[in-house]
Amino acid sequence: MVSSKSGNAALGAAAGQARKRAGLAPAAGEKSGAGACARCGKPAAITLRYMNADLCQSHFTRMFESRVKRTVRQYRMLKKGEKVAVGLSGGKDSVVMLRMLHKISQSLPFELFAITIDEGIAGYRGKTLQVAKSECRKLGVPLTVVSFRKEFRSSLDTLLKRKGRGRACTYCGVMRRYLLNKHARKLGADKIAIGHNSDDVAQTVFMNFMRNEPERLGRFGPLAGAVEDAAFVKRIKPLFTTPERDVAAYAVMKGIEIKFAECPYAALAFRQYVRQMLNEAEEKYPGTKLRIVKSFLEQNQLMLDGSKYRIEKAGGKRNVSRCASCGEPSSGKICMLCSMLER
Amino acid sequence: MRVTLDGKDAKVASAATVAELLALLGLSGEETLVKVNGNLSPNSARLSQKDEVKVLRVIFGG
Repeated sequence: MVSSKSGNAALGAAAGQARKRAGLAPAAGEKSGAGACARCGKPAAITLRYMNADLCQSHFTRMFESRVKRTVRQYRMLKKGEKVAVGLSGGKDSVVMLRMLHKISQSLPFELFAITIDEGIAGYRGKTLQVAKSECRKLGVPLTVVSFRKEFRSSLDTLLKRKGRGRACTYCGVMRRYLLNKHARKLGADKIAIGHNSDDVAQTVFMNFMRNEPERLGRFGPLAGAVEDAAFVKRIKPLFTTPERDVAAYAVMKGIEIKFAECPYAALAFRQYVRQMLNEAEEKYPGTKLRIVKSFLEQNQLMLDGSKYRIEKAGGKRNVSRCASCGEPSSGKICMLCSMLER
Repeated sequence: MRVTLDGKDAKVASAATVAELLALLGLSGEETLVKVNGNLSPNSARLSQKDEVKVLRVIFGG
């Protein structure tokens, strides 16, 4: 108990310093009163335990937008005149990312369009597909819908009846990435924007550690994805440093139509185990997930300097051939997708 | 106090604050947002018997 208390006190002191640097008033519930915004004292709308503060709607949305814009700027994700394909599932992350990119495109002109992959998941994807269509209509963003049924002659639900539900996320992930890359390239995209938030990042870091996949971790990052090759469209992740709960709060505050629903296959995934583990850690030690992301970004840079994974990150030197079956880029004779579907 | 969780009525004894309500429902503040009388509210917001509370679970896989 004693060590826990002193640990909390140390964390509290560190949080206090961070709050001062961020221009925040003393912690919520101290000087400005319980439930008051730490920046203006007006009634708060949300508690952000990772920064030990309550914020009102206006200050939260301003902070949210600044953080996304800062991440986009810091990693030079966008350039004037580029064509950016948004991977739009219709879930909260991709919809909020689309809104943010659309906002940024008003001051830094670039072309924005969206691609939605319809995997064919009964009772789930249909709802988010409607959201994707309605958001694109509202913003005037062209949308292309690509379905597993048309591309692979089978919905995910049908495919998993043969392959087994246990590996749903593995199949779905490979198939979605394949289609997103293929169609973004066909439509002339310079970049694909993916709605990975900082919770997803923290989970991916842990999953790669737990599976001993340093090469994947070496390629992972706010700009990274596949190895560099003309057939791979570069990926950007504007929400890389934004917590998932903040994304949801922003959507609710902005009145964005969101279906808060879980993919029926998510519970089967290894990611779900890691998600629960990290959320428990976050509950007990607020700020854990963001600290994992920050730590990853620092260590990843150190790891890449002089490591064998640097070549791939720097780009171009790894041999990327073409799959003998479908013609898409592949590190072997047959790409991951074709070998999975043949099995 | 009327409490709905993901759009369905939830039976819960009265709670003094949003944080207490979430604890009674066995939910994490890290995975939820709470609206009191239509407004998003922080964990420390005080609740009264007349309040309409909506709890949204917002962290999902997929």
